[in-house]
Amino acid sequence: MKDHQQYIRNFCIIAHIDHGKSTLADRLLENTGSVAKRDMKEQFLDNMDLERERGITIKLQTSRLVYNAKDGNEYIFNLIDTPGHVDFNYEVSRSLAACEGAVLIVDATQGVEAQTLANVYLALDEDLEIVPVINKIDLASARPEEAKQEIEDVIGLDASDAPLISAKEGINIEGVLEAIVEKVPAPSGDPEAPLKALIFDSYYDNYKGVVIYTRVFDGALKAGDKIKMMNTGAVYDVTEVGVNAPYQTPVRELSAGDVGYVCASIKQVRDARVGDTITLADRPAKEHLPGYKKVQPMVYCGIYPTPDEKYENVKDCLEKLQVNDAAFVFEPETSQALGYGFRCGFLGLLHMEIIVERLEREFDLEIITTSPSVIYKVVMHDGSEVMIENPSNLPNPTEYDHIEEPMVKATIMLPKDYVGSIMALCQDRRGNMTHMEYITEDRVALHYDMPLNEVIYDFFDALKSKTRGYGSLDYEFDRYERSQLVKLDILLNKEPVDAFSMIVHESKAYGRARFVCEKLKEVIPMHQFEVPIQAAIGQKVIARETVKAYRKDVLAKCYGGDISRKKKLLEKQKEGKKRMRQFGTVEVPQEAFTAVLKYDDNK
Amino acid sequence: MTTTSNGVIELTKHREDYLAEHAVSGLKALGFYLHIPFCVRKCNYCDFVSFPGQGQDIIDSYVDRLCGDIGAAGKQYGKDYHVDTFFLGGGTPSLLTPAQLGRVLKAVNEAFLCGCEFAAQCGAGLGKCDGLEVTLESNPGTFDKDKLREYISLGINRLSMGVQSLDDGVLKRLGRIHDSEMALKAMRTAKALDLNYNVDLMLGIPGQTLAIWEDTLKRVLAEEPKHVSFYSLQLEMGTPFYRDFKDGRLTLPEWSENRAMYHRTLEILREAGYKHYEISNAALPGYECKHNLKYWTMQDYLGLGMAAHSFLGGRRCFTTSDLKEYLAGHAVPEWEETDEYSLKTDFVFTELRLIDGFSKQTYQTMFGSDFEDDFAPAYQKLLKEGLMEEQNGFVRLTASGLDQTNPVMEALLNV
Repeated sequence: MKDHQQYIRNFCIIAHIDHGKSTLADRLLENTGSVAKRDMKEQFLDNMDLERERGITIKLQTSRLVYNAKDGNEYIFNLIDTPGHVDFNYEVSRSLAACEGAVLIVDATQGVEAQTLANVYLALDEDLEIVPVINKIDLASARPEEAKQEIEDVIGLDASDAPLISAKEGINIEGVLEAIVEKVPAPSGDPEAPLKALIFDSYYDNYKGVVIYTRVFDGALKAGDKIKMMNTGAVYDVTEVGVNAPYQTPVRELSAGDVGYVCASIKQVRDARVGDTITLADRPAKEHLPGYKKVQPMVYCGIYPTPDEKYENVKDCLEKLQVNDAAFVFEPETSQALGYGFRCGFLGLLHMEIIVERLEREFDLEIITTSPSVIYKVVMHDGSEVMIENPSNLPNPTEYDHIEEPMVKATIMLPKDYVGSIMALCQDRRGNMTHMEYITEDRVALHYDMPLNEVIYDFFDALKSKTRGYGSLDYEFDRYERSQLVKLDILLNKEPVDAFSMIVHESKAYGRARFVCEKLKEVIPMHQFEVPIQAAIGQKVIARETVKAYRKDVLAKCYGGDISRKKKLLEKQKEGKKRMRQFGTVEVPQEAFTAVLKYDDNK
Repeated sequence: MTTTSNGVIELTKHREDYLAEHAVSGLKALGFYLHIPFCVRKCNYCDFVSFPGQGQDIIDSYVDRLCGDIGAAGKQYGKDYHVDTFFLGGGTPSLLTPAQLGRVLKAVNEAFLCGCEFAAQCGAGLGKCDGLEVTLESNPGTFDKDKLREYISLGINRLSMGVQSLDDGVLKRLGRIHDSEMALKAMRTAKALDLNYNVDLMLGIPGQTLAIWEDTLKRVLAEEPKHVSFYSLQLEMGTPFYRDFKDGRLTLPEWSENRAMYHRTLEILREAGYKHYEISNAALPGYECKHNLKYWTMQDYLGLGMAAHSFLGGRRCFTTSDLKEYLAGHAVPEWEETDEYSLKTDFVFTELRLIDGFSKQTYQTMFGSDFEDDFAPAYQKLLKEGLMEEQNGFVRLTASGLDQTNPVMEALLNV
């Protein structure tokens, strides 16, 4: 049985976005013959279209490869691919916990980035053996020796014998495979002990129900076993166990050291939460594996059907997504402006964008999303606390004592040339620098204490823009802090539109008010009458713009192609206004809701 | 026809009966529209589907695709229809070389029986039947006498010219490619060839006064066009004019001035012997545009080419506005949902554009219901407000209704 474990290597790949993680994963699959070249789509493991398009990995994909090493033995490699974004930190930490080692890819042209560093620290927390690899050596701008030096300076790892590779060109992939055999420890664990298996990912399959990805630490698991989730207490009958080779292949059993999948007719992903421990119902382990936590949404926004979309459709689709995404929450809410819709919670901005994009593209929904908001803690006069996820629900200022807002610890890594402009940006976003360090001669890490509401408001776009894409950001929730916050309302033709309401820091209110009014002026079309756009705090108007009137009493031209279109323009609430939303007498195009959020490079 | 409700089946039956009455030898009349989405340069007010400065190779492949579509349409509709009006619109169709135009017209002639109501007996064809109206839209500066002569020999018997103004300042502001001299020359060329031509004019343009407008109109009428179209400038979203006006960089004539130009136009045209027959159109008696009349009287028409619209058997469809998609042959006409309500409102929306309005009897025949019942109480209110009137069973807009077509239509369309 020990032989079984001796030839297993469980590892993941850590890299910054674009540094070539998915490409290397593909090459490993190809070089071990796991996927024939002709079956290779670009980046096999990123199997959502969206992921491939954005070049990021959101959902984990696990693969089992068989490698015939130079020492003459056949090894089983379990490659656990990890997501590469700050929103999915917890998922990353759980997949790391399933491994004994991590391949660290560093881009020879860019060096170590904030996200990489954050994940390396997570990996070191899990006691993983780190195998550094220098990628993109085929590029003219590659500086492999400097990249190695950075790894040694910043992370404190010996990178002297790190394989120099090009995943894209397939150069020295074998070097990586051999380094994994040599450096990553074989798993240990007692196959005879009571079952302990870590859930590090799960997804919903229409035919099989929830498919759990698991790493078995102790004991063994096979079809027919009755299993118990140690944190939720739920019990299920296992219908199938197997491995991804790289397509799902059933096996007789998974035992200590193995990585594979389990199906047990589970209906929702939330019933098989990442981080939970699977044990046998009739022979349970004494204690569960460490590290379980229930992830909490950090960012909220409203999702509403457009006038042409059915509420029920949106609800169905949100439910479908939730089945597959334990971190995504939603509940019904009503807006005066937008009608019936949903308040939705996400791990972060990227998570939000992904969900919204999937609703629009995969499910073909016509929806309006409102400004993202963080959760504010409102402390009432009697000391009671109310958590506010929707700015329009903020009580009247006379009713509460003060508001607290979530603060994060943010780490920004960037080339030193941009330090000045980014410090100015952070200061503008109410950040307090806690410290700053030189990672290398040219690269700097800035550590900030910052309100989350400033981070979710286009901060990332601004950072990318001001550093020409070289800046990277990582943040984690720290605490709630009392703050001078006010509610900013937007009025169109004197009528407040609740969907535009936002909570902002007092010092930012005037700037934001002007910005929103200007943006709305740009996107709202001319009407028969003048449309005043106002921003107000309480009763006090602090900014105003006006959309000019354009009198359109006659329709001069009407030929074959004009009939439907022009007729529909005159028919209230009909297509033609599809991308418009009527507020009182004012028509607002859908893009208005996103336009007020966009980072403006000229500012 | 796909039905969306029982109402439509019933409705279609009435309408089919109505059309059958007008059909000759079993073939129904069809208006044929072809869209040529190419121009030299985009004008400042233009939101038509048109691509400036395309090479001959693109235009050639467009013509190829168009000929293919014409052939396919002939197989689908040729058994039921004869083409009695033909209109090449754009864009600037006069950018087509005679060879390109020849290919298009030949394709139509092969796919459809073309000619007047007696076409079935004489088997006419393009260029052989006087009763067949064949219009080509053009812009001054894109043709000369030789080109026009070739067009005529191919079967074009009506030319529509985008003159817009004879004031050089106004023309420049509009972003036109021609000046007043070129416009006059174009009109004279057509006249010299004894070609029936229409002149498109625009009023309510920035910088245009009533005096400038009157001068343009009178000088145009001196060239004796058979037909004049006079449009009040509309600011369309996405055009430079729209943006400039919204940002305060452009000023339009006051609304009262705009209306004064329109009213003066009607007077001058009447004095010159033209009949005002549609909101923005007037013609010497007998020279009304037969093709355009089909749009306003619920007649069948088939539009081919990108962004072209059709109205066939009571249903509307349109083709993509995406040039690449069209050239790749992926353009599938998209049919709109139709129901009884939308056909009735189509009827009112289009027929009220005619100065004579429509007969309540026709409405009754076509839909099997009463106009007044269907459009009360909006209609009663509009009568009372003096925006509509009724005479000898005909319903029409009053003079003040013509100045407020949008509010009138809005009231009728939202009953």
